[in-house]
Amino acid sequence: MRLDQMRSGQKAKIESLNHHYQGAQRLAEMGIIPGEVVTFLGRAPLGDPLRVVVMDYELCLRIRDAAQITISPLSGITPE
Amino acid sequence: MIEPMTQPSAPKVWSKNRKVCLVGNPNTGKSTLFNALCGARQLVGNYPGVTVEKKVGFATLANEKIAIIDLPGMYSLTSNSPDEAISERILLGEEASVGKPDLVVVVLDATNLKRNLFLLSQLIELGLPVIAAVTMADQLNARGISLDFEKLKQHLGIPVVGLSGHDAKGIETLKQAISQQLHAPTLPSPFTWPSPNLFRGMAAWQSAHKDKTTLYQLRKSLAGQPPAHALIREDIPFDFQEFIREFELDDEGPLETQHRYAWASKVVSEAEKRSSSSQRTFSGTLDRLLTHRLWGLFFFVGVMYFVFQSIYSWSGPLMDGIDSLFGGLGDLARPALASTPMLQSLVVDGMIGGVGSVVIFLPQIVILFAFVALMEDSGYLARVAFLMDKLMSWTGLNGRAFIPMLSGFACAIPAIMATRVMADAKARLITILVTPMMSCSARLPVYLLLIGTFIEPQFGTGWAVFTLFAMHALGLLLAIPIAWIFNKAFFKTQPQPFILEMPPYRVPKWRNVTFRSWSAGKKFLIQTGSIILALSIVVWALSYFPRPESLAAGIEQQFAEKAASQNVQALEPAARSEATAQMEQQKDIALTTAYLNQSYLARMGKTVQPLFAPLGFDWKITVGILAAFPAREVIVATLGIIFELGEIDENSPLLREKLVKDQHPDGRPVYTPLVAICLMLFFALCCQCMSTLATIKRELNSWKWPIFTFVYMTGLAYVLTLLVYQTGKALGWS
Repeated sequence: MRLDQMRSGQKAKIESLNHHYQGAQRLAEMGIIPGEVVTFLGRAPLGDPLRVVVMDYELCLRIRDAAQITISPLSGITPE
Repeated sequence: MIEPMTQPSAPKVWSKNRKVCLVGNPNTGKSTLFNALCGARQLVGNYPGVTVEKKVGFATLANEKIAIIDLPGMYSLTSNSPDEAISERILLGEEASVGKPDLVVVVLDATNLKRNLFLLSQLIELGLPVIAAVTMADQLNARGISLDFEKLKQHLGIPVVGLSGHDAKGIETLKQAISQQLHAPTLPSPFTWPSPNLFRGMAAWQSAHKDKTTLYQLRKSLAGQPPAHALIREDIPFDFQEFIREFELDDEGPLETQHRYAWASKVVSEAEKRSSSSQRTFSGTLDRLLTHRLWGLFFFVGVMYFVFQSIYSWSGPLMDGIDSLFGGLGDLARPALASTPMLQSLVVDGMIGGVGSVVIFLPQIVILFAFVALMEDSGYLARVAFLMDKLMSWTGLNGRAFIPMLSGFACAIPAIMATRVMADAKARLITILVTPMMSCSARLPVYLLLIGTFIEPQFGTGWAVFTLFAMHALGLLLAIPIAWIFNKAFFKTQPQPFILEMPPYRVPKWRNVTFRSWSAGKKFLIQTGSIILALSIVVWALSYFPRPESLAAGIEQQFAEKAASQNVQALEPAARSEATAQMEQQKDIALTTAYLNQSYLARMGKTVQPLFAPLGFDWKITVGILAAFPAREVIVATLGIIFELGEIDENSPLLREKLVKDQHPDGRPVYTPLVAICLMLFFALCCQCMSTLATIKRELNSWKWPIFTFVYMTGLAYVLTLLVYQTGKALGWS
């Protein structure tokens, strides 16, 4: 599953980041690191970009960039 | 007080001082710390050749004046943006305009330690002593975090100073630590990544080659910048090569970054305890409202409306005040210089008028910057970018461009300066180029004059309002596709990802807000003002010279004859003096008009008029357009002089009457509704504002872009006006 397919309130573990992607380095520097837990907060009113929590801080990223991140949803989805 | 650097490339004043670099992630309170350390002793300029702002402050520590260089906020040293590239160069001692730094103070946000430690992991590899200043320490409790400063110090192996809010004691401790490190520097011991063995291998290789390359550079080259194979030489230890191969085969993502974060995770897990997992409660609740698909947009529109209302209405009285102040100054100077008319005109019309045309923008700049600083410091600006990103992203811009573009409706100058909040240099460039397309408030007098004269009387109030709205919408509607075209034409590369930290909401610090808005105003006055003043004098000279004596003599004679024919002398004394005064006034106006009509500017207008004829403009409008190059609102005053009305404004019924009655030699009226619309169209799109061009020059540090802006906007104005006029004429609308 990809990060951009998550639902609000859902938590997931980052599996990998497409490192052929041009922005991979930037995403990694901002904390998109395999093994980290990401919480999906929601989408902007126009559908893009997305808000997530990673490394205990909040990040906004576009669907295009989020689609480069593979995740596995964690059991025990916490509702908003 | 902030002083401009006279020569940004030569740090003569402080080259001998010892230098401390202040580095940190954005939103960590770095600027607040910088201001607390240096107070008002700051220099602001640009780094040579780039548009990155250079901020240097001075602090006296143990009787020694230390230069503190405030580097732009960044998440990593790896060159992604001009900000990061220049910071990397400075920290490696490669930036000639700064010299080699002696110490690094890294600002770490206590509530966001893990990500902040990533940057620190790079900084401790530079071969410079490093001090960690941990800010937001007062917010730890509220967030359910307990941080053991001793353990942190132990694991980082560098001095650590905790700071909170307005903590004078913390600042003193930091100052002591800085002075201690300057006198007896201790180098941090970098973490032995990826294995102690390999680390020793790297160190041995480095010393064997008498290599001054820092560990940071070495690791960066291993990570592919420059490519690692450049480093693979036969004398590299075997396991080193193995390691390089591991790098190239990695599939999970950038390995170097992962290793740095693994180190950061370890430090954090040792030094920090988090009691609950949902600490962002206040910001979270506020965000559910402020980024809500309905309420979020409502609130946003409300905020924008308030900001614009303020820029328009609060600045109004101030601008009127400045206008009358400079008018008054001119009136004061005029009699003093009456003996030398040329000097009088140079001082009053050229210089005082020129300076006045700069200072008049000051209220709008200060107000807009106060709002931008408020929105940025409170964390709302990041939410605006989040809300608006989708609207801009397809053009190659991002959500950060929204505020500058919207501000352009008030005035392009503060709007262009507001693009500084944009981290992506390409997006910033394009935003700067399209922002002057927004219909600024200086276009309003022209619209009001022409709509009031030609549209409203003939077509009614409804169409008048619609025309005014259409003129404002036009710039925005054209700017978006133009941004898309520029992005396609200039940048072949894929855009950088748009990743934005959403900082928690914080109460802005008033000192910071006032400081930023004041320094923006001051910078504008000094740096942009000097360019505008120079150009004002050029335009003044063009409209003043030549002044043939014969012209004045001719008009004197004409009025003497007129006086004789009216037999003024025969009137009652009271009526006589009134008639004489009236005559004198008419004579002055006639003389001003005659001089202007003879001036180089008018000659230029008449020469280039054939170029504007296909647009429906006669030579008078052409002169008005030329005279309005420095500032578009000048056209109304220029038309006033050409039509022998003296000083008037856009509401003058006399000018409206003159415009309606003005005829071509063959008796056709010069101004038809079609011509009026074409003139408004031309004014809406043409870049007639040298303050804007001077600001673009200042912001982008090159004359190339202001020239480009002038050419593309004027070209667009010409082509579109031509199309509209010719189509309109063909349809028989004239």
